[in-house]
Amino acid sequence: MKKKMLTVISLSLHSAVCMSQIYIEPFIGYQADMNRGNFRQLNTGLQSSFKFSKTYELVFQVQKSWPKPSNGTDSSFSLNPNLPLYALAQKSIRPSSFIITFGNRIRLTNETSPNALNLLLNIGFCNQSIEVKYNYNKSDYTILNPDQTQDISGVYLGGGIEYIRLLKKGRVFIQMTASTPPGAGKIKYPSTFNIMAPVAVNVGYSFMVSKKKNGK
Amino acid sequence: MANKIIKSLFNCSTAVLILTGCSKDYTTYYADTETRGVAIFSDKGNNIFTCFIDGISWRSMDRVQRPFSPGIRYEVSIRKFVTANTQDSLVISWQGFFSNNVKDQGAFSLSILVSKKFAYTDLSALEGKRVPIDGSNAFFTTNISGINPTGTLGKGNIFFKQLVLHQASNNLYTGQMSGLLEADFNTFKVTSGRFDHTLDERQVIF
Repeated sequence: MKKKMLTVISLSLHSAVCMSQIYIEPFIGYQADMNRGNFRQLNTGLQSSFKFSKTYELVFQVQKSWPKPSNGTDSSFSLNPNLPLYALAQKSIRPSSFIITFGNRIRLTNETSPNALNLLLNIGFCNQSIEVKYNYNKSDYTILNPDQTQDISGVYLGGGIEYIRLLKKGRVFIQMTASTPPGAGKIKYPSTFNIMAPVAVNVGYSFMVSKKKNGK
Repeated sequence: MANKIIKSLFNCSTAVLILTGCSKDYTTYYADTETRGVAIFSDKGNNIFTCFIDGISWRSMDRVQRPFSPGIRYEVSIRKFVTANTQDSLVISWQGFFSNNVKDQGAFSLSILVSKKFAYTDLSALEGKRVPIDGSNAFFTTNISGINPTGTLGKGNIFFKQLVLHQASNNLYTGQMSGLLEADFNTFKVTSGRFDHTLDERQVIF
């Protein structure tokens, strides 16, 4: 069974490579969470685009999002009569994520123009790690309703709009995408934050690495 | 024959599903990932008390309504005992077990000597306060198999993050109670005590 699946996958890849123009596209960007959280991340990634026709490209993307730490405070209390009853505990939350995406890039505008507006439809696997660290007197104080590190993985869906400008030797693009939270979309813990549902703006450059064999 | 077996299996599993489905658990345990063995300190009405007794994890039993059972099994009660002495006794008692020995259930309690006029509003006045437990006017006790056989009274501290009681009707009270506690019984200690409960009419008796 495994052999059959591998054969089908390698044949599909082979035919995709043979029948398409291939681009390698590094990109960087910035994203914000729109799911109750206040998280911000910097995106870096690489995608490979298989251009099957003038209006359709299949995109395979790998993206790592780096955390922009979010700082806050929580309440902590002490039973030690020699210490103040209440103290603030410093909290740092570092949200990072890793995404593997299969995307569809569908051209919406005139095929001959060097300026293209594309519709992006994505499905992929996402791992979100939201790391929580506290800085407080652990031996004497106890935090009330503490946040805890959450690590969640699952399938996600996304979509967006992209502008591409054709250049002499490649393409530049800017895209704006929105994605669902991965998996069930809920944390089974009373956190002050939720799983991220990011809205991202990425910019990148397309290097053509393989021209369609019977293409122009 | 096969049909009969399938039918009886179906009936049995339906009965099991109905019976277990009717049971309701009102306790939520969120493990503290920094201090392993106890729940987080919360004030959300998770209906749980956890602590270490002599270093071993001890927790209150789940608040559960069993199918075909007349009432709810509670993990904590607050009761004022009227005595023949000059003072009455207010007792907060938790029913629970060591995490490594579920079957051996016992109780951990706090007793406070109070005036005859002590009312539920006086109890609510303790909210937000850290109260020293001196071991004589206020003391901790245990009724746990193999622990504290001499019946030593414990001293320590308790902090009531929440202690709110509302009078639902005559002599019936509801409310919330959460906080921290620690106790010293000379031969052993109770540490990292965290409690978080909603209280209904059958738990508070004045």
